[in-house]
Amino acid sequence: MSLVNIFDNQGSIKREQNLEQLVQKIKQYYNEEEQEIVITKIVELVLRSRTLCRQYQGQPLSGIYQEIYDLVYALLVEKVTQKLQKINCNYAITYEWLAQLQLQVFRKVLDDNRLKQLALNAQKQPPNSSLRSYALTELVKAIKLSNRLCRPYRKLFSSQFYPLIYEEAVVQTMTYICTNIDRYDPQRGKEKFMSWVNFKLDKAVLMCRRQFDLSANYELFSLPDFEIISDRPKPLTKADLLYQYIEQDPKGVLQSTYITGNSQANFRAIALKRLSGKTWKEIAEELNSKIPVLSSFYQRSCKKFQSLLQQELDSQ
Amino acid sequence: MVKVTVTPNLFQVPLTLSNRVCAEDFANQQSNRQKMQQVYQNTLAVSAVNTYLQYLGWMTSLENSDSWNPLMQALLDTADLEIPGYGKLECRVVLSSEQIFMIPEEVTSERIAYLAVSIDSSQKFAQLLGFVTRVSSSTIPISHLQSMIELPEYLEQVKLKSVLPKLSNWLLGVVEAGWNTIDSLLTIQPELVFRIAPSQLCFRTGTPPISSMSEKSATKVLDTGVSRVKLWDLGKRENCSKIALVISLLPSETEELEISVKICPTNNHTYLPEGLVIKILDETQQAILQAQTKTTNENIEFFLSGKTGEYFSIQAILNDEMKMESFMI
Repeated sequence: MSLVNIFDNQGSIKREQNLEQLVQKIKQYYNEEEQEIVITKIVELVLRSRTLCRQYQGQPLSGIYQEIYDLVYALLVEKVTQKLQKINCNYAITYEWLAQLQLQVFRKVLDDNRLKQLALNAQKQPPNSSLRSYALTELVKAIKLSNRLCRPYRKLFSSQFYPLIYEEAVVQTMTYICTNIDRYDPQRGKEKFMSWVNFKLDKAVLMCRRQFDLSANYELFSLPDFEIISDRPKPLTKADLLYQYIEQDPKGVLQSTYITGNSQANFRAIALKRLSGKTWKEIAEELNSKIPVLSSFYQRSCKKFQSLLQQELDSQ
Repeated sequence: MVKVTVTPNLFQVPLTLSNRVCAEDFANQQSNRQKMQQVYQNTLAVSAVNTYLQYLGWMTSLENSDSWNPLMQALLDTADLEIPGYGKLECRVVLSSEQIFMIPEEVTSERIAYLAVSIDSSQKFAQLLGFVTRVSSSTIPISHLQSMIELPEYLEQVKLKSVLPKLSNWLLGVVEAGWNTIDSLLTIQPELVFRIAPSQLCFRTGTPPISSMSEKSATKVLDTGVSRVKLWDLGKRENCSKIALVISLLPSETEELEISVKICPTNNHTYLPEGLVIKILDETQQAILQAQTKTTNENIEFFLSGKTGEYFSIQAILNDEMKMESFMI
């Protein structure tokens, strides 16, 4: 599972139809020059489905993004031309073939040095800026596209469990990379960018292994079904203890905190109703008050009593 | 102007095993099915947005989010995610069959945006559908959402400062949850012993320098003035180091507030962990003060001063762990 699908499917049907028309056209042209024009059109069409080297807020590409785009473009033109030169291969040019070709070409272009440049470009942008967000999104997509992420310790896990652990580790690694891009030092890791990434990924897999060894009692492959779980008798939950405490209100502070002029609408009463699942509409009717007044009083009071309630719960 | 259409796939976020385990853990602390389901969904929605924001390079703070606190989960139907220094995002699950998304009445304060999250039935990924920045009713049609692609730019502009801990209010007795008096912290956690020894490393900034007092007398006043403490965990499990962050305030003759930020070891440790880096950052996240511990540093203290409305952040880095909290003066 990746954050971003490698190629988007939106609009691909339309592009497929356009492509078919273009391929038909090629058959009609015998002139090399005219053929070239059609080929560039085909390549441009396919590149519209790229997920990498997208424009930032509609601005033209520049720097490393432009470099990658140009290289991919040139390689695609070359490959499509080669394919067409083989007799009767027109039929073999399908949208699917082109999408595959695009993937291969991107992989070839995204070598370690270009990934490094993408990382350094992200580093250059100010933290918490939309420019940095753009650069990191491009970087993450490029790492995935490049197929250069390692897959360590496969033998330590069952074939069913490994994908879960690996996915977890990849997400942890990517979030680390993105929130710590400023720590990336291009001099280290034999000057290879992916050494930095894969070193983290390697560690993350081992960490996840420890994490889930400890919690082995979880149903790792099934989704929780609360209908079943809650039918089992079980010890009092935190929420139960909270309910009890608020109900008893031994210090009396919860009851004595109320909306001015309406002692009925006190924190204890509202909280108990909320905890029992009553809607704001019901509560407003019962306490003879308005929803916005009640809910904002309740929000403030929850904040106010958070420390007190936490202490009481922790001491039980 | 041509509007670029963005494919929804662009904002598909994986939900991992630990996201699901965590959601189940939280859900199991609730007392009825409806609430369990609610907490489960809220946790997944927050997890998805958290991953997404981190992929975009934004620091988030789950531990300062009500959605990550079992007590607040029970009291409120909350799916908030705090971005330190900015405010909270409310991450609401939208059922795939519905064309609207609902915002509970009790989560309308302090939010800088409301995000609509759709969770796949496999619970293996979530799609972020878009966001709104203001709500006038508790239901919002999906068609009214702004595209996710606009979120970073929006956040960049927001910088909502009003939700940060407000230090000038501390002097009036209004202190945010999580900031305890030193005495009360010792009562809650008697096993926790920490020393507030005289500082070896002292740094100061701001004009004017801390009144006309000598450092020694300033420290004395600070110890008796408004002083609050919070514990920070740096690292995981066995490698975890707990440090105490003590903030003390001193109203001065001028309009500036004088602030002491002191970092102390806990649990009977005499020294702070070696290699701990503490930074004080200004509004633009630039470090204005910085210190790194060696083997035998008992504590670090920073003095700074500022006017009401200005703000700063404290950042602690130990090995690969980073913690940060922002404050408004």
